[in-house]
Amino acid sequence: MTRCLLMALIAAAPGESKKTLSKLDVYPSRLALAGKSDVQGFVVQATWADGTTSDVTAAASAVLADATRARLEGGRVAPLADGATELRVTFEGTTVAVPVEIARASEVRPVSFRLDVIPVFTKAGCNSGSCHGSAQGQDGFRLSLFGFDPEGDHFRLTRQLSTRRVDLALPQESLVVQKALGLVAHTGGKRIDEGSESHGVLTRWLEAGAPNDPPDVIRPTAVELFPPNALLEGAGSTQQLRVVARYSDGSDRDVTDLSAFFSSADTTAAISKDGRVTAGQRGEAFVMARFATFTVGVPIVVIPKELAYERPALPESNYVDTLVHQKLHRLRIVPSATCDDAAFLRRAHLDVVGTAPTPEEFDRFLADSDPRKPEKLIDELLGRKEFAELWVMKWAELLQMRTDEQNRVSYKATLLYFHWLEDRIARNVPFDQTVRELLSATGGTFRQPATNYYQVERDTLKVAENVAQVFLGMRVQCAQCHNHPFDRWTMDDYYGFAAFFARIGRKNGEDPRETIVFPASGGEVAHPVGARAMAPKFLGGATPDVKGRDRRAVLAEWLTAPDNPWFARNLVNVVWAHFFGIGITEPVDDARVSNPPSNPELLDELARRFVEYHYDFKRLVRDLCTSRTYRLATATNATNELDGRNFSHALVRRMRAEVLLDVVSQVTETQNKFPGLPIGARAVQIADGNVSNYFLDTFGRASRATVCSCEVKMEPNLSQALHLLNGEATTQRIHDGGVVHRLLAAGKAPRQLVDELYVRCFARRATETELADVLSKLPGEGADAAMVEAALEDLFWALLNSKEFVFNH
Amino acid sequence: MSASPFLVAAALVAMPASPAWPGSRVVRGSPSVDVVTPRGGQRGSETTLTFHGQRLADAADVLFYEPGFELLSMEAPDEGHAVAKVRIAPDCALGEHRLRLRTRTGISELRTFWVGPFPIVDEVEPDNDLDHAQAVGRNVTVHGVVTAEDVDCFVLEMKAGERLSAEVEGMRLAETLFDPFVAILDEKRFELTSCDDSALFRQDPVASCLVPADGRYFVLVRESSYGGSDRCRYRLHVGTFPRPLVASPAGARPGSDVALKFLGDVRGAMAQPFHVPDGAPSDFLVWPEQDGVPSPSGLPLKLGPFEPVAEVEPNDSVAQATPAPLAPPIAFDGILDRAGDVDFVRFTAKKDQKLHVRVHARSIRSPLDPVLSIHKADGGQLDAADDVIGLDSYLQFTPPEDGDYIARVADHLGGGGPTHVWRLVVAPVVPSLTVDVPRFGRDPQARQMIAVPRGNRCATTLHAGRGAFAGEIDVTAAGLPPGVTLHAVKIARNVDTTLLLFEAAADAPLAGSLVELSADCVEPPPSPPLPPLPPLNVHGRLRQRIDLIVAPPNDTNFYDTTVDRLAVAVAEEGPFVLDVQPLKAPLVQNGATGLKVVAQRKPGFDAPIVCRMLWVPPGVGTQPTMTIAQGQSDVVYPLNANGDAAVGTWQLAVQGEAESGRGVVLASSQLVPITIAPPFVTVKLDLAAVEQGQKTQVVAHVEPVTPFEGKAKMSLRGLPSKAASEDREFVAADTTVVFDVTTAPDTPAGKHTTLFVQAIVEKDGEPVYHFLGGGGTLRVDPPAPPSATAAAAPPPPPAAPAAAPTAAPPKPLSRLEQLRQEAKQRQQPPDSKPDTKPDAKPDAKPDASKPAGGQQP
Repeated sequence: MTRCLLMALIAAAPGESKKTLSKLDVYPSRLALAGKSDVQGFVVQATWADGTTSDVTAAASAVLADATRARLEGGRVAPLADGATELRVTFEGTTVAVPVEIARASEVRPVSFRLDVIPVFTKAGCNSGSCHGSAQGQDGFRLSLFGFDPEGDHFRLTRQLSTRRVDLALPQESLVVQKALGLVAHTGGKRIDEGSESHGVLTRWLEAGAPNDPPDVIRPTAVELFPPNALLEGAGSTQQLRVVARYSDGSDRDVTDLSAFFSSADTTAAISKDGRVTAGQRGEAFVMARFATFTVGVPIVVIPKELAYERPALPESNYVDTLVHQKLHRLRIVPSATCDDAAFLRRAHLDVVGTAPTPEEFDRFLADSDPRKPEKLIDELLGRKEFAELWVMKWAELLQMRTDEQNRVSYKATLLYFHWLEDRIARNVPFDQTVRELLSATGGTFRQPATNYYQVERDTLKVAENVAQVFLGMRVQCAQCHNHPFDRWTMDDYYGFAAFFARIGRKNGEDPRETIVFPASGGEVAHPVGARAMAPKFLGGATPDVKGRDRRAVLAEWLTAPDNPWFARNLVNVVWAHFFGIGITEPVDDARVSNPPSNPELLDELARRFVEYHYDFKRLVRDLCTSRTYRLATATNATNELDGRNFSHALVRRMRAEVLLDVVSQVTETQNKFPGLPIGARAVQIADGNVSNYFLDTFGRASRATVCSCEVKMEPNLSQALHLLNGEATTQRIHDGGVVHRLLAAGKAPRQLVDELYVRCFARRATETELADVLSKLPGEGADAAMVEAALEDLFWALLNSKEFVFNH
Repeated sequence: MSASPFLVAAALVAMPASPAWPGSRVVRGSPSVDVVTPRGGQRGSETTLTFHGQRLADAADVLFYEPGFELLSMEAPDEGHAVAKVRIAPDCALGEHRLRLRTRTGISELRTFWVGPFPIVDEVEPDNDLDHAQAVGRNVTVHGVVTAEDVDCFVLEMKAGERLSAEVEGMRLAETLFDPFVAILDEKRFELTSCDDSALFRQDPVASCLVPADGRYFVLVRESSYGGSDRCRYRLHVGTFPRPLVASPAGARPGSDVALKFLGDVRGAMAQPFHVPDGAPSDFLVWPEQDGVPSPSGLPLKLGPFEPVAEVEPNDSVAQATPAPLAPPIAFDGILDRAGDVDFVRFTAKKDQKLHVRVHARSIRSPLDPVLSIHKADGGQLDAADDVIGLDSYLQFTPPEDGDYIARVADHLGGGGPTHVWRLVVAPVVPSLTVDVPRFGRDPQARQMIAVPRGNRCATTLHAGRGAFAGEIDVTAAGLPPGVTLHAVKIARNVDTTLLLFEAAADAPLAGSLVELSADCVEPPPSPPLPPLPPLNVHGRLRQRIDLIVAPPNDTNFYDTTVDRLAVAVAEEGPFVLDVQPLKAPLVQNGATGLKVVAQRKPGFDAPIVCRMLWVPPGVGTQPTMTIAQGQSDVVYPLNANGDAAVGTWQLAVQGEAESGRGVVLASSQLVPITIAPPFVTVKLDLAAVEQGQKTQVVAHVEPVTPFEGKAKMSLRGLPSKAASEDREFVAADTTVVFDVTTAPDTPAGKHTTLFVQAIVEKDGEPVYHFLGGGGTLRVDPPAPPSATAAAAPPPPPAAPAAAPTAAPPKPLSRLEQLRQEAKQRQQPPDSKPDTKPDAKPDAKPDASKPAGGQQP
C-alpha cells in the first residue's frame, strides 16, 4: 500500500497533477515466452485527456497473476514454468491485464549465428557501410552489409585467417572479441562493452565452436516497435521503446537490446542506444529501430509544456481539410487564413493549367459574386486542354521521354510516345489502365508507342528500379548490393522484383528506326550471392504463378490492383506535391519506412478515394484544389511559422521552368520556337527531353535523363536572375511582343495601362502607393510618345523581374 | 588483302576538288542528277521532265529501264538543269519507273519517276489549315511539298456512302528521308481516319473510309513528326479509288489463271480474276480496279513454279493441317484471319532432300510478322525460324526420313486479321546465280554505271552470288552500245569477284544502252553423283539493288529499287589512256613485284592520275591507290603475295581516275595477266645470339623449290638498330648462306624476332623478290659483368672459334652447337676457362616460325 502511494506521488509530478488519464496501454499486448532465456520487457503508456502521452512504465505497478509460471526481473518478465498467466499493470486506478504464455521454460536454446551473432554485429555497427560492411571491407575484414549474406559472413569469420579471427581454443583471444572490446588496436575503436549481453553472445557462440546454423534455422518475419506513437509534452520527457521480433516458427523475442535506433529529428526526439526517447524542441520526429532486415518506426510529437492552444473552429470544404486539421491539432498548430481571390485565381491558373490568368479572366473572376466561384474556376480549368498538357509533361519526365544518343529512340518514336500519353490523359483514361498498358506494352515502338518505355531504359535492373520509383514511389536501388539499410527491402526482394523484367525481347522492326518489344520466352535474373535464378516476386508480396504469362502483365496487374499498398498512395502524393509544393511523403519518390508520410491518414484517405474514383485524376485534383487547405495564404502565424510539412499555410514556390517560359511568352504575347514543334508551341508541349533552350536549362528543366523527381530544379540562382535581367527572355520579348505599344495605341491612359500591366503579370491591381509611385516616374503630359512607351516598357521589365512574378504564392 | 576490304579502303580515299555526294567523301563521275521533277505524271500524257543536278549541259538522252516513254526533245539550259519532253504511253505501266540521264560525257545515277492513272494537280500554298484548304477534284494526284512543320490541307465534296481514299507517295519518291502522315477529317474537323505508316507502303501512309454524310471532307498531309523540307515532295492520290491492302492468294504460277481477292478495302473484299502472264518475274505487281477506277499503286504477288495449295480452315492444329496433294515445289496460301490464329499445313518430302521453306508475308506487304516452325507428322518440332529475311521467316530443311511434315505459321505477337495473308513456299534447293556490281564507297550509286571514253577502256568489278553450287562462271553481255566490246574475265571457282573491261572503238558513236549481263556456269557434274545427274548448268543475270534513301540510324537503307541491266555508254574521248606493262617474271608466294602503269596524256592534260587496282587475286596485297603525279607519265604499282596466294594466272587491270575540270573521268588499263608461282627457294633462319658490341653469324638454310640459273642475291633484313650485315650471293646449289652480323655497344638488348631475308632471283631478266625466313631471331645480350677471376685472367677467346685470316671459313655453328661448346668450356677447371657468360637457356632451338607475308620490297 505504501508502495502504491509512493508510486502515486511520483506519478503526480508538477504539471501532470491536473491531467486526467484517458487510456492506459501496455505494449506488447501479449507476451509469449519460449525457452529459458526468453526474457521480455514491456512498456506502459498513459494517454491523457488532452491527447498527450507519458511513459509510466516505472510509475505503474506490475504483478504476475501466477508467480510460479514467471517472475518479474528488472522490469522484464522471465519464464519459470510452462503454462499461462497474466501480467497485471495498474496505474492511477486503471488496470490492464496482459496474457503471458510460457513454453519450454527449462529449455536453453543453443546460440545461433543468424539469430544472435549477426544482430550483435549490426547493433555494434560492425557490418555497417562505413566499417566492415563496406564493399571492400575494412582493414582486410569484410562482413556483408547489415548481414545480408550470413553464409558468407560465417565463412569469412571462421575460414579466412583461421585461428586469428576465431580462436576456438582460446575464445577470448579471438580477434573478433579482442577488436570488438577494444583490447587490441581497432580502427573502429571499442564497439562492445566487456560483460555486456553482446559480449556474452559472442563468447557463447565461440565456446560452442562457432557453429553455423542448420539450413532450417528460423528467421525473423516481422518486427514491431512499441508504443505505436507518443505525444510528449515538454522538453526532457522520455519514452522507452521496445522492439519485438516475430519469427517464422511463430515465436517472438524482445530484441530491444539487439536493435539499432535512430531518429529523423534528434532536436525533437533524441533516442539513446537502448531505445529511450528524450523530447526536445517542438515538432515531430520519426524514431526507428532496425533489427535484421527490418526497419520499423513510430512518430513522436513533442509540444511545449503548458502551451496556450485552443483548437480553432475552422470551416472544412472536404475530407482534405478534416484530415489536415486533425494533424494540425495534434501538433497544436493553427493554420493560416485563406488567401484573397486574386491570389487564388493566379495560383489555380498556374497550378492547374500552367498559364497566368488573362486580364479578362481576372476581371470576370473578381466580379463574380457567387460564393462557389472557386469550385467553378477549378472545374473550368480542369476542362481545359492545358490541364492535360501539364500532366503529360510531368509524366513525360517520369517516363523519361527523350531521344537518345544511341539512336534507340528516334524523335518520331518520342513524339508518338508523347502523343500516346497525351491521348490517355486528355481522354481521362483511368491511370491504372494507362500504367497496365505501359508496363505490358508489346509491339513496335511506332505502332505501340508505349513500348518506348522499354527502349528508353533497357537495363533489366534499372527498369525494375524505375518502376518502383515512379509507380510505387520507392527507391529500391540500395538493395541491388545489400539489404536496404533504411527500408524493408532485401536483395531477395530486389532481384525477385527485377525478375518481372527479365523477359523483355527486342528485335528490329521493318522501319530501321523502329524496335519491336515483346515478351521473350526465356531470361532470368540471377542473385549475386549464389547466382540462383530468382522467381518473380512482388515487392513485399507474393510469388505469383507467371507460367505462360507475360511477367510484366502480371506485375502490372498487381501494381495497379486497388489493394496495392503503394500505387495509389504514390500517385496521389505526386499530385499533391504538384499543388502544395511538397509531398505528404517528401521526396515523392522516396517512400520508405524511415521516411514516413507527414500525414498518413490524409495519404490513405486520398489513395482510397482515388481508387474509388477509378483513378480519375480530375476528380482527385478537384478535391485538392477545392479544399480550404489549398486556399490558405502564404503568410504564417506564430504557431505555423516553423511548419513546412503539414500544410498549415501555402508555400511560396518558384514557377517551373516550362511554366515560367510559357507565362513570360503569354504576358509578353510572344511565341516560342522549339525544334520539332510548330512555332508558338508551349514549352510544356516539348515531347523530347533532349530539346531545350537556354532559358529552360537555366531555370532547371528536367532533361529526363533519370526518373528522379529531383531532376526538376526549383532552386533560384544567380544565372536565373541575370537571365531575366539581361537576357532576351524579358527585354527582347517586351519589345517583340509590342504589348505596351498596342495598349497605348488603343488609347489607354498611363494609369489604366500601369494597372493592366500589374494585372497581366501579378493577377492583381496595382496598389495606390504603387500607382502613385509609378506615375510619378512617367514622363509628364505632352511628353514624347516614344518616351512614354519606353518608360512603360521599363515598368513591364521591372514587373517581370520581380519575385512576385516569378513565384507562385 | 582480300577484295572487299580493299574496296572499303579504296572508298575512303578522297579526291580533292571533286563533287561529293552530300555527307559523303566519295568521288563521283559526271554527270550527276539529284532529282527529276515533277516526280510523276499521268499515263497517256506529255510531260516535261526537269533533271536537277550538276554537269548536265551536254545532256543527250534518257535511258528508261521500262517501256512506255518516248523522248520528244532534250534541252540543257545550263549545267544544273536538263529538260526533256516525254510522252507517256497510255498503256505505260503504273507505278515506279527508273531512268538515267545520259550526257556526252557519262551517265547519271538512277532516279525514279512515277506514273499514275490520275490527272495531276499542283499544291498551292497557303493551304496550312482547314480554313485555307485547297479544293481538289476526285481521283486526282496532288504534287506537293511539306516544308518544315508544314501541314497541307485539301478539301473535296463527297456524297454519303462514297469511299474516300488518300494515298501518299513520299518515301517512295526516294528523294530524302520523308515520313509522311495523312488524315481524313469531316466538316466538323473530327478525324475519320488517319495513317502514319502502313503495312502496304511502310513509311508511306494510306487511309480510306466510307464518308458518313454528304459534305466537304478534308485531307491533311504532314511529316509524321512535324519535320519537312523543300525536298519532302509527295504525290497525294485522293478520290474514290479502291484501296485494298493485300492480295489473296499472294502468289501464283506464271501463265495461270488465278481467282484473286483483294482484301482490306473499306468496301470489303474485291474479287478480280487475273491471268498471270507467261514469263512474268517472281516479283510482280497487280493493280486492283473497281468501277473502272484503278488503285494508284499495285499489290505484290510472288510468282514461281510452285503448285498452289489453299489452306482449308480449320487448320489450327497438327491434326487439322491442310495437306498438299503433290510433293514440293509447292506454295501454300492462307490467312491468319483472327488474333491468335495459327495455321498448319502438311507436305510430303524425301529423306535428305534439301528444301527451302520460306514464308512470304512482309514481302507481299501483309501486316503479319510470321514465325515458322517445322514439325514431324506427330507434332514434334524439328526446326523453327523467325525474322530471317527482314521480318519474314526462312529456313533450309533436310527431312530426316521419307514422310509427312508439318509447317506451322503464326504471328510473332499472336496477331491476326483479315489482311494477315501469308504464302509458304516449300521447294527443293536448286542452284542459283546472280551477279552484281559491288558498292564503291558509301555512296550506293557510285560507279554503278559505265562510261567508256571513245578509243579507251573502262572497267568494273563484278560479284557473283552463287547459290548451292560451285564452279567457274562465264559472263557475257547483250545489247552493248555500238562499238563497245566487253572483255570479261571468267570468275574462277575459288573466287566470287572478277573484272569486266569495256572497250570502245575510237569511232564508236556516242550512245548508251542498258546492257543485259548473263552469267553461266557450265561444268561437268561433281563426282561421284548419287543418282545420275545432268551436267550442272546454271544461268543467272544481273540483280543490282540500288539503295535510294540511306539515312540514320547507321546509314540504313530505307528505300531501294532493283534493276537487272547495267547502264553502259560511250563518252567523249578521255584525257588519258592507261597501259600496264606486262610482267615476264611471276609473282611468287611470299614475294613481291611491281606493275608499271604508264599514262599517255592528251596534250595539255597534266593533272595527277589516281590509279586504283580494281581487284587482286586471293592472297595478294597491294595499295588502295597509287598516283601518277602531276605531269608524270608512270608509276609502279606494288603487289605482294602471302604464302597462301592462289597459284595460277590471273587477269588484272588498273583504273585511272582524274579530275577533268568537269567531274572525274575514268579510264582503265588493258587486262594484264599475272602469274602467281611458288617461291624459287625457301629459307629458314637459325637462332642467333650476340653480346652488345660483339659479332655473330646468322645462318640461313636454303632449300630449293624451283630451279633457277645464275647468281641470286640475299640480304638480311629486320635487324635491330645499330646492327648490320652485308648482302650475300648464292646459287641454286647452295644450302646455307651465312651473314656476319656486327653490333654496337648500344644495339638494343633483347630478343629481336623481326629478322627475315630478301632474296632476289633473276627470271627472264626481271628480278623476282622473295621475303623469306620471317620470324628469325637475334638475341642481343648486355655484356656480363666481369667476375673476380676473369679480371685477373687473360682475355677470353671469342665464343665462336676464331679463324685464321687465310684459312677457309669454318662451318658455322648452330645455336645449339654454340651452347654445347660453351657448356663444355664451363665444365673445364675455372682457372683454365673463366665463365663470363650469363646463364643461357640450354633449350633454345632454331625457330621454325612461318614465313612472313605481305612485306614490301
